[in-house]
Amino acid sequence: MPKLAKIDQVGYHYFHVFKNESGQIQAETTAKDYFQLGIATPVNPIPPQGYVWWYSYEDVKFNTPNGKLPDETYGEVASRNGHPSYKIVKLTGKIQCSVSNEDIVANELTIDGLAKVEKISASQII
Amino acid sequence: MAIAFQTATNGGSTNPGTSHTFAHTTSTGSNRILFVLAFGGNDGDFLTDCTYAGTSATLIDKSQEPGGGHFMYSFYQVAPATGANNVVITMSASKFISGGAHDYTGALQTGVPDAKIEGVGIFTTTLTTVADNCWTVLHANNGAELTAGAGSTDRTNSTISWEIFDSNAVITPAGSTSMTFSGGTEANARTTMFSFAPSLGGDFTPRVIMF
Repeated sequence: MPKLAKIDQVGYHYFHVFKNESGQIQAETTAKDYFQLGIATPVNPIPPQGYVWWYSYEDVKFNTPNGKLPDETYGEVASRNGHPSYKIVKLTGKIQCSVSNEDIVANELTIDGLAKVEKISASQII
Repeated sequence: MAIAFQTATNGGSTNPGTSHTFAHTTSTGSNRILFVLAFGGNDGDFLTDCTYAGTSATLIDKSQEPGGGHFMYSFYQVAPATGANNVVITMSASKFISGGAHDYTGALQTGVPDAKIEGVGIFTTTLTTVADNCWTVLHANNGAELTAGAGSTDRTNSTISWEIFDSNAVITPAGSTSMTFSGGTEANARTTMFSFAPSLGGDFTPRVIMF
């Protein structure tokens, strides 16, 4: 297995997704704005002209320009809200996906870890 | 009071994410009930909460795709907040997340669901309802775009691999009833079918009786 470069997690990032007949666009927002969406009588995002708000999401943010993992890298995600830590890996040609801590040892993906990545990538359904 | 369908929402999908939020506007009628289909997790049960307007919904059922894939969850919430609020689906890891919601008026606010059953490897799911004049709901997943069959009305027209169907009619008398869909390979089909009962008395308006 090739060695993977490790990228540090720097927190979480938040996005609004807007759609129209020709496609989707997304805009980054703040944690405060994202979390108020989940309470009663929220203030929903104002879409750009010609779009409607479809959904918003939160994901792990890494120390890269767009917060996502480049190919052949992985990052450790810190424990949060009582849930255990885990790792996220991005292989060339595969989607960025989560694996267990034991699936990456000494900066290498194990055989079991590779099988997980391939299975998850093959099952994407968007 | 008769059950009446109000609205349904296809909430889209995040891939990957740790939480996913979408709008669903609940009606202002009485005896309201909201159902949510949440879907995702890639390879395990990672969902930690499903809320509407900040209040956690109650799990009806969860099941995993054959071969250890995504989980599908069915939730309900009685007397949900009215108006434009949001569903939030949260996972404990960064995973594929998707979902939809649908709401009704005229539903019994206790004893939810009236009955439920899981279906695996079948396009037709059969449930035995308990109360008279229930409606039935079918949450289905099959790795393909799904379409309604006998006994099913498609409420979300989702282009993802799950779909929300209901009976769009009462089941009377109570007893065995079936819902069918198609799409994908039948051996991989997975469903949760459940029923919910009508409210007993509808809106209560006190009257003064003079003797």
